[in-house]
Amino acid sequence: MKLEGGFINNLGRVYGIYTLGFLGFVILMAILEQVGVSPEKIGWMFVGFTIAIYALIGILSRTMESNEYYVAGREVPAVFNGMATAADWMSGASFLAMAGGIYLNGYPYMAFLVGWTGGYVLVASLLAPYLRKFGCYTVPDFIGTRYGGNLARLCAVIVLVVASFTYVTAQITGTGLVASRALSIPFNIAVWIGLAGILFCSMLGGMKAVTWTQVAQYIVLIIAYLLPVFWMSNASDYGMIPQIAQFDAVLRVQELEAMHGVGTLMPTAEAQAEAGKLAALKVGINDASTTLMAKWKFLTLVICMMAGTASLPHVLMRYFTTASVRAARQSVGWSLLFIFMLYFTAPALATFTKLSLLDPNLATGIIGKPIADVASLEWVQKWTNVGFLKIFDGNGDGLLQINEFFMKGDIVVLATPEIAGLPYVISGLVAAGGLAAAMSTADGLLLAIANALSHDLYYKMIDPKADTKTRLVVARILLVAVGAAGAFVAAQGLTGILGAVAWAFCFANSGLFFPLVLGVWWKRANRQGAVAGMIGGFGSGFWYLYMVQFGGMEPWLGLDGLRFGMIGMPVSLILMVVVSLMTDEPDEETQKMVDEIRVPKGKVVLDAKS
Amino acid sequence: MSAKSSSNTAHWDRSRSLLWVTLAIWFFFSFVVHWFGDALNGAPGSFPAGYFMAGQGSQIAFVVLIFWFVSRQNKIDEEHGVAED
Repeated sequence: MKLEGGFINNLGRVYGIYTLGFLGFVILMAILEQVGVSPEKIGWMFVGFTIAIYALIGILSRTMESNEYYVAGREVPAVFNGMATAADWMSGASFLAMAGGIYLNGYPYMAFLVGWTGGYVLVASLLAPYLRKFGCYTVPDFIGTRYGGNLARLCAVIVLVVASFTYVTAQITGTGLVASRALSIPFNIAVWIGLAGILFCSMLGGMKAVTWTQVAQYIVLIIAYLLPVFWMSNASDYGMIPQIAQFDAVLRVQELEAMHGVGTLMPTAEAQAEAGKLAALKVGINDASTTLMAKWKFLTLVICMMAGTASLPHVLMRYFTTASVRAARQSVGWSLLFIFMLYFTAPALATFTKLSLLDPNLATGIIGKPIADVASLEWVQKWTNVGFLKIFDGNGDGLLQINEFFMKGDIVVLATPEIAGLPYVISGLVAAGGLAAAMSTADGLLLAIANALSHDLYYKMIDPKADTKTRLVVARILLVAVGAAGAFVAAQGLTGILGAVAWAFCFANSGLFFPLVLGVWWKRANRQGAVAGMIGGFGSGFWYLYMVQFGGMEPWLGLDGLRFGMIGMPVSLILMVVVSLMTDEPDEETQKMVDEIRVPKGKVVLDAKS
Repeated sequence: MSAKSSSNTAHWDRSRSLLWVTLAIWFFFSFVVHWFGDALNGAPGSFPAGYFMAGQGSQIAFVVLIFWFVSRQNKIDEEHGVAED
């Protein structure tokens, strides 16, 4: 690509123009809405325009060099890598499900916020700079070289594939959910359209293409998330800055909850049966944990999400793309700052949505209003028709009580603009943002899987003599195959978004957290220990999840399917330490290699070796 | 050679101390604060500090902590002459 040399130096300008262009597009859509263009057409244009941009970036970044395909040529500046990581990281679960989860589940759910941000402290201090110095292409590449031997590498590949594949089906589901809503097409077709968009971004240019589309996707998703919240906050007279204004709103919501009987007025069995999987609001906005068990559950979820963050390969591999060790370290800070922009807004979004629905003084308040009036609202009808919302007059008094209003948590973000009565253009924007979030994460995950299979399994283990061209062709074929498998599973609609995501984190931390961390921080860790740690941790975690989820086993100490890393991680740590100490210490060459990665200066370790 | 490796040992010792400090602060904002979430919330009608810490406060602490850690580590690298050029 001709622009290339100039491209890296002009990133600020390129993405500045892109951001202005996108805002211009949003304004254009708003004008079109005013002159009477239908919401369906606007939805199509939002989805079509953004996917076209991502695909264009993907095509412009095509490459046939392995350094560019695997690690984006190692020239991504820290700030932009931070943005790309933020998009890579924030998935359909963060964008679509999180605010809804906080809305329905209140305080305990905010453990996800703490876990998904605090994990980056571990990434910055324990792993990212050292893996960058190591100079690997994939995470199994580090495990395989640090511990030596194909068995260790294979174990890492297996954990990576299971964790990332669980995760990617959830993202393709998210893509399908948004596309089906915005384009009014059936879900199982929308899934395949979403996949086509995802592959366009990643297939031709690998990590290089994914990096530059992820930056573009971050810009779309953050605008889409923040704009409606700012709008609602200002419209509700609570203040200009929603993240600060929300605290007064929380106090007001608590008054309203007492008035409406939240936490005391439970849905009747009959109503819940009618509503199926949809949920009524049953807990207060700020019921902090008081019992020992509730505190324990909060903390264990935090631990699992943090350790998962520090072991998910699609996140770690983003830090292989920076120009230096120092940039990798700095880039983690930028990543968290960009993630933080969305995460510290999520509780505000949940709070203002709740306020909109509960406050009888607001035009948008529906609780306590006559059922006939509520049922005639356009957004209520729309979401009822697709089965995501249900109103059931249990006591037959003709008024809507809190225990008669059921919804699916995932729709809070998507429906909020409609609930708050914002123009449709905002709904289109939010749909584009949700799509960007799910697509960018799916891109990163598919690439992580396909790269591990092509680089570690095919090139390192099956055919070490393969030339670059063959390797990259294999990588692309695998990418399409894994994507198709993911879309196939997603189209079956087996898993909800959030459950699958939490599983992925626990798979990753059970199998990889300690082998990665001790690989850097404990020279004595050897191959036998790492293999035992990976197999034992991953195996025990997997077994526990299966028993709790499908085998009818009573969870131990309240550790449910979201927290099975609490079983896998200790097993992994103990096995790794005990087996390492029982067997010979690693050879001198390996120990020297560990010394090398602890020092930023000098060539990357893998280059020096070859 | 021996001078270099002894300097590297000192570098690693300081890096490790920095790690422990970082992890201690991380531990406080990840776990300790939220253990007392209900107490922080205080009486009804007062500022919901427990909610704030879980929803935003810890996140702010983590962002600041990482940037602080990075600048400290960079300084350690430079002082021991092992920073990149």
